[in-house]
Amino acid sequence: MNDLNYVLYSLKAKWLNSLLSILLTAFAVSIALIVTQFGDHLNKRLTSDGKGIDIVVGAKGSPLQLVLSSVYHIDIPTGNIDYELSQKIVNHPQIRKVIPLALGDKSKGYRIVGTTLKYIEHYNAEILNGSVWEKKFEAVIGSSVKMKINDQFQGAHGLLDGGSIHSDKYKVVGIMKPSGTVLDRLILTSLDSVLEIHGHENIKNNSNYGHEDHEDHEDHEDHEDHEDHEAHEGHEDHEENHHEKKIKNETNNKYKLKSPEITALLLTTKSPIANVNLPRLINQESTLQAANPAIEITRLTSMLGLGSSSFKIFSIILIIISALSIFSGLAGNLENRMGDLSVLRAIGYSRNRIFKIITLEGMLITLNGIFIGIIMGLGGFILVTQIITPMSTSHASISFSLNFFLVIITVFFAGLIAAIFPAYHYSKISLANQLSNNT
Amino acid sequence: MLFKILNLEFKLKAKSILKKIDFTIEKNKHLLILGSSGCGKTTLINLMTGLLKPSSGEIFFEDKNYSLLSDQELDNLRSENFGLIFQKLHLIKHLNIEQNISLAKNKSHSLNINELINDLGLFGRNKQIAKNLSVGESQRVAIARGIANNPKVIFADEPTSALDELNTKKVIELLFTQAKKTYATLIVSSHDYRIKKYFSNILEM
Repeated sequence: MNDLNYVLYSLKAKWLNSLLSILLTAFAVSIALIVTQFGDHLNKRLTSDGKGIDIVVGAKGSPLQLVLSSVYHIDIPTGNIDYELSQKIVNHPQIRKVIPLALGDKSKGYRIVGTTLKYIEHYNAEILNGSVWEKKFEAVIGSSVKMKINDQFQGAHGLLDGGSIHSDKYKVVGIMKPSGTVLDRLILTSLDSVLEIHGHENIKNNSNYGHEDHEDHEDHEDHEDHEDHEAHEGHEDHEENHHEKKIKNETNNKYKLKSPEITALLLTTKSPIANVNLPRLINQESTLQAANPAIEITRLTSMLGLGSSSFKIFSIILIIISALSIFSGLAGNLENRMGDLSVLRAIGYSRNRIFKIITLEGMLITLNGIFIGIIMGLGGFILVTQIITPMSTSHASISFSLNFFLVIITVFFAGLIAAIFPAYHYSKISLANQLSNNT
Repeated sequence: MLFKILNLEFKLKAKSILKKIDFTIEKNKHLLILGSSGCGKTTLINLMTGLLKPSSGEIFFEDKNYSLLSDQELDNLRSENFGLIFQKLHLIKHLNIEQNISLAKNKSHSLNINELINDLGLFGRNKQIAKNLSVGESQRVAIARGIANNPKVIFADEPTSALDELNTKKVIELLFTQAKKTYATLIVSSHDYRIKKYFSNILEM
């Protein structure tokens, strides 16, 4: 009978103890994996959504709010900035790329973002069906947005639930491929579409932002009498004001259009030094604010304890619990089998062989626990991503990152150490005493 | 000479268990170690098999001095040359008959397990779990495990302690038969004077 068979029969004989040890290890592995998968997903999303955006420029207010609303689209904007004022920044020689954003509306829970095609190019997103917008009120939707080509929809004012509905209808002309970025859950349209729907003049010369909106200028007059001439604002506080203006507008069809405004500019600079100097320069301007997404997100994650270190600490605690469970299970099993092991020693099994047998037993428990834990952990993560809407819309997927392998390797070595202690102890037992104690 | 024991002493917590023992054993000259309970018979067997280390004195097996052997060498010597049949049998309860016997089988010239099981009257019982065996069956399995490795010396500690006259005779005859088959030397410890008649070499303690 070889040692592996002996160990398998021993585990089978104490199947309940063995099963509990395996399950405890599996639970620890699965929870550690789920935690690291969430951490990886969060980091991946924060990184991919913020990739290449060095500075965000918007209205004065909280810099974190500006970054969250403009880069990650998970907060309301700080306000709007004057288009002409923004032109001073876009022409700065240290700026490589400028993406303007006009926010303020949503449809079916998805944000409508007035922007240029550079926004799509920035994330290397591709069109799956249809094409990009060519006219005003044409929209391209992200892969998670539940609409079809040629679907028409109306924007609701504000970024929270319950805003008044704009009468102008958008038409879906393109659907983007899943990009694993924030674009997946956005509705993109031209800047002028958003400006016009909120009663702002179209941008006369937006060459700095791109070229796709030029052809719309001639359509501008057609929309001059638009009944919804509310200035687009990110704040819900403006909702009431908007409503009042709308009523006023209904009684006076000739409403003067406001000068164009945008919500934010996403800037890519030419050098890291510019990332430091430009915000200082911009912040001197009384109505503008520049925020560095990297700094703000680091501040946020450290404030909320979402950084990788907290995930690691949590995972390490779980792994220690798992190691202790292996140790306890193995030690308990071995305590009951001291007699058997002393018989093996007596019939000629060396100390080393006994040591190997016990270690093998511990490693079998650990490896089975790891294997079941991986299945449970990844299965659990997939299940959670299906159940939790933000996870499914952000295309949360399993990542075999360094953290994933660190969990596996750490549990393996924790199991090995947990097995080695009793293995060493029991390989040193006094044979004659143990045999005389055996019943 | 198979065994040479010189001035062997064993103390446990300052209490002397064995005092100045000297004897020799020739190959194929079976030995009975006879004495009352607690006189140190099992301790002597444990010393001869290397399971215990003496307080003083020397043990030689085929001219190998135990005191000069490492633990590993002593383990190897035991597994290569000795077969042990314990007083309490010490079968591994969750293993079946065949598995219990095969634990001791680690030499190329080990005996065939099926033949051994048949010889000991356990034909067809290979897969029976040890914890379900009767005392008599367990004793036969313990004997089978003791001789499975084709040892040069079979040590049997109190093999008849709980047996009646008929079964005592059966077990002793079984031990002698198997020893003869495998050309092994039999060393039996017992307090049972009934088996004295089967041995020509007796060490009374």
